[in-house]
Amino acid sequence: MPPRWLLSAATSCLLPALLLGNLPSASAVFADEAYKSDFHLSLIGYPRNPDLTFFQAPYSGSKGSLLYTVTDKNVIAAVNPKDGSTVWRQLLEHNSSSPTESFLRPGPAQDVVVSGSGHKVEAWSAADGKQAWRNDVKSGQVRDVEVLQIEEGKEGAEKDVLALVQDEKTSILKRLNGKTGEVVWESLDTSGDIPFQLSSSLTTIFVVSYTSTLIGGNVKVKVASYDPQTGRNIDKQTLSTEIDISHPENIFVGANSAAPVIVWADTSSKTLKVNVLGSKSISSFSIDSPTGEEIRDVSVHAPHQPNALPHFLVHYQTGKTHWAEVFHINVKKGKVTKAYDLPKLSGTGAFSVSTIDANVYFTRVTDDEIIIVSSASHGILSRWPKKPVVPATQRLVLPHAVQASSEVVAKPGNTFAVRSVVLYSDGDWKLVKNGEEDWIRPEALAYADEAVFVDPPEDLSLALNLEVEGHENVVKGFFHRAKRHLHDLQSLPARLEQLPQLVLGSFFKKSESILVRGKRYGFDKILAIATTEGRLLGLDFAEGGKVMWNINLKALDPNEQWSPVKLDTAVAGTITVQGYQSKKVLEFNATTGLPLTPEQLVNRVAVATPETPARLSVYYDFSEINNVVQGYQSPDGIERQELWTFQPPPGERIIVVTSRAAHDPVASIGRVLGDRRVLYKYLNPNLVLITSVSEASGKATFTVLDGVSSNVLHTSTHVGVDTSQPIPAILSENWLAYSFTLNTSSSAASAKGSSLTFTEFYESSIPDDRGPLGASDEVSSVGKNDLSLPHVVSASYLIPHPLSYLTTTSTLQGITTRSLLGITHSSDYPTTLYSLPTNALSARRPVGRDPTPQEAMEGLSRYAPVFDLAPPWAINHKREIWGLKKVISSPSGLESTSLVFAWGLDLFGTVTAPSGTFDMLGGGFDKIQMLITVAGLWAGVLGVAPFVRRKQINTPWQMS
Amino acid sequence: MASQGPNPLPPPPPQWVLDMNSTPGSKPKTANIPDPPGFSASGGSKKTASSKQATPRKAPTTEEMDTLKVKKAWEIALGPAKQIPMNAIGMYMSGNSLQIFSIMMVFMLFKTPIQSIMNVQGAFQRFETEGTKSRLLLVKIVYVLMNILLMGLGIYKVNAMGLLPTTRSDWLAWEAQRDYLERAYPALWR
Repeated sequence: MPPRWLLSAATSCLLPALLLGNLPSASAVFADEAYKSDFHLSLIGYPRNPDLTFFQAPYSGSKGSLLYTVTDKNVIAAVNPKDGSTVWRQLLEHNSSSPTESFLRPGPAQDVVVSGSGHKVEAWSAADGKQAWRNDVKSGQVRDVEVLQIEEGKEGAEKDVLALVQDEKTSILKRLNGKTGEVVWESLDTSGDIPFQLSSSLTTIFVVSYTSTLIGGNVKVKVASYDPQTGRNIDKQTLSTEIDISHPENIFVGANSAAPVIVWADTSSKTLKVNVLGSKSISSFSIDSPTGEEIRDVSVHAPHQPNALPHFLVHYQTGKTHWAEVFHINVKKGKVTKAYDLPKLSGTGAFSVSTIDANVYFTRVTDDEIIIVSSASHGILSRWPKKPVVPATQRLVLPHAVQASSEVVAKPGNTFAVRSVVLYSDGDWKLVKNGEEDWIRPEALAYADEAVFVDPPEDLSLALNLEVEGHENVVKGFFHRAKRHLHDLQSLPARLEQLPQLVLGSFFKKSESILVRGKRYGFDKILAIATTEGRLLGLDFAEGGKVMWNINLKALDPNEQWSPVKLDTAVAGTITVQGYQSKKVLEFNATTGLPLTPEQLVNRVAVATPETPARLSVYYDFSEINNVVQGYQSPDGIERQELWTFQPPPGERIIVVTSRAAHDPVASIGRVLGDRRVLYKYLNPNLVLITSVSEASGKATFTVLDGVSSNVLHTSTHVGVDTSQPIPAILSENWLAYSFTLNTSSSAASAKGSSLTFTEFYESSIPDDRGPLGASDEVSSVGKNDLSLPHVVSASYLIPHPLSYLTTTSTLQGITTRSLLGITHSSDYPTTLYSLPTNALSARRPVGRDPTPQEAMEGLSRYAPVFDLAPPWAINHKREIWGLKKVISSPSGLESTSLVFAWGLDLFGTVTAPSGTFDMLGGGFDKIQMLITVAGLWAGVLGVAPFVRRKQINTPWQMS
Repeated sequence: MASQGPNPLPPPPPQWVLDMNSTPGSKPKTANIPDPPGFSASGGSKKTASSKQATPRKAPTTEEMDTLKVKKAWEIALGPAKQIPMNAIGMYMSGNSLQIFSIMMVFMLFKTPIQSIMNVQGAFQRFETEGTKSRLLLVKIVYVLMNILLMGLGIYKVNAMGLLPTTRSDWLAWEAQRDYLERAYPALWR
């Protein structure tokens, strides 16, 4: 082995040169690794309403159909019902601060679907999701969209679209041309009623609106009817509902059927009232809940086709049971009669309605079976028991069906097939085909809020055994070891059996995912994800984000919202969750998702104790209410002794407090310059970066504190900052980076766009100098050395896209250079995850001159104010990832590689090697070729051997 | 062969050895063929004899011989110094990067002097007589010094290539990170 200094010297000379040469490719994703070293879950959120989820053929003449839905994330999506993949997605206009209604209807022509949301009514090509046309509502909000179901003109003509718009005090009904989206007519209603829903029969358009009465806050429902040809208001009547309805959400309007109805239950859920739109009469039916349980929910399912039979189903749900009643409408007489009851079953159920021609079928999904009945009679047409998929012990609470949409197919021989998409209470959206689960979309993950990488539980038995052997005397230790090895021999036959497979597998498994292959090298981490709805999910990172478990934190402690939460993993294999409201802490086993038993908790604490406690442990937290950061100590863990308080500059508000990650190892304590001198890094583990902004003056201040003494080490202030945009910041090793958007309207901004600032801290500005602390090994922030300020160098760059979140890659020992991970900020478009090499961002790049050869050797290039986010740095390569909000990284077992996980609407996981995969064989390494070469050389040696031997014998004889 | 035991006398040489060693007679007895024109059997010996007779040279005395030997030894001793300029130019041409050419050159710069120093007795053996012995000591010292000088050039080259741990960065791995006695942690929600 060469002496170490030789190696280190060689690397110190070579490495910069190598890095410089490899910079663009270092963090890029190679074409043959793309899609193999990453995973992407394309999510949409929960479908809004079973009526807005439907199966439709994407184009006329198509054999299959696609599943269309609009979700409460305002995404419309076409899902392939065969495998559950998204064929296309579109994000509808929405206001991120307030909930926006959105609607989706099967199109007037077969190859489009029509959506309405915010200010827009849009038609999308059903096959590929391209926009067919768009109608902008100048002011106001779209309240409902329907397709006009009248037969006019010639056969096969485009049907038109109706849109209901609310603009402050007026409501506007618009008829839009189904082909172009142009307005055919508009009808204004200035009565001040709040428009609620649209419904059309074959002859009339009905607009249901309501006003809140002053007394008791109840709701008065009004029905206006319009002539579809001219838009003329024919009639307007008020239904006497004041005493019944407290909230408009309790009204159900059966839309677009031969006889549209409006259905509601009175406030005490004792009577059900039905009004056929257009008539004045209200039919009342008493709801009998035999067991006397309180009815929690009443929902109505009516067919959405004008030519379907005018039947509808009312679903009653109590805490423990559910049942349904089916009603028929006599269109001519305008009378509603109850046809039959569907029996009471325990648990929660979901009903859905589907039509074949004029026939209406109801599908009932319960906890253990799926039943189809015809609307005409109560006879069960088909029944499938549902197979349980996950053993019940794995789950704390069994999920139940929340909503369902079905497609019923009549088969010859009077049999039926049904496929239902069912949303379960645990957030899984499943396709159940004749009782069997076909696919699952884990839509709960679309609401991911926090995530953390958890190491799989360590197997401590070997470590314990080694400990024993090390501490006993030699003879005893020897026998202990011999016994252990004999014990290990038991697994030898199994190992030998695996061997051929293992060897062959390493040659022929070309298509295997890099993530799966990396399981042996520490890629097999568990991702714990907390959602905004208070769920906690465990995902297998190496298996491409497969959901391992899914628990409802609210079921464990209903007093806590469990959103937001803080996630932590103090010990491998366990997750710590802390709720915001009650500050309560729960701990879970990361592999099973089960809460830790008290016994395990004791073990956990024993393992978690740090080896050498610091002389003084200071904790700091940030109080949004008081606008201060406070440092305190609490020797007993309960009492809080304040040590320092940081207040931002006057008029500024602290927005975020950043600190170095718990795992932030530094391999080299200095930066080697081109002339082999050293610039020592200022490596203080107690750094705190506080970002504060002033909205009024557009100022942002970044303050770096020592977390123990609260000494301010560095401050930078920027003016002309758009404080409404995200201001991400990251602190790592001896550097910090932050980004902000410049306010274009502010005169203070010298340039428009977004800015990224990179700041580095060194112990001294002079190479080979360790600053005022000299060679001392120990630093005390509270002692006399408290004024050792670091040498700060900083560089700001203009970047083409604003960044919404910043973090850094993380490796086991910190030998690999760090990359800055940043997400581009965009609310409407696919987001990009960049991995920016910190070398390229270095604050020490020479300004206004070319680098000297020494600087060039270090990898520094001339400073340029514009820092282009080069496409090779986008580590999501060609994947279109929506709505990324946050990204985390974690070291893998390989020093070169860092695991990266980003989430928002979609989930994206990948591995990245900022300095190249120097400790891994690349995908281009051909083992077969290597074997052939070795075999060829061996054959050559054997073939040449006789000649060589003969020559060797002859040589002495030919000497003279 | 050694296993056959001690052999008191070597076996008589084979016939071909005897043939080779005995030169053929100046005139074969049986040959009737006349000598080619211009050939004289005793021509060579006659010539040497004549030149000897022409300049009868006085054999040098041992002192003169010793002086000559010492002179010759000085030449050898200063040989390495003469190589220095050539090597310097060669190294300047090969550059400071780590390439096969420069590495071989540096290797040779170390190998040659070390070998020469090891072999210093052998190099001057031919000049070693009773009279020169004392004078050769200085020559040898100079020879060693010259080789060390040549090696110094090699060390200078290695240093220029950055292979000597002479700078701070070479010892960076042994320098420890400072230990912060107090620690600050971000608190969970409390």
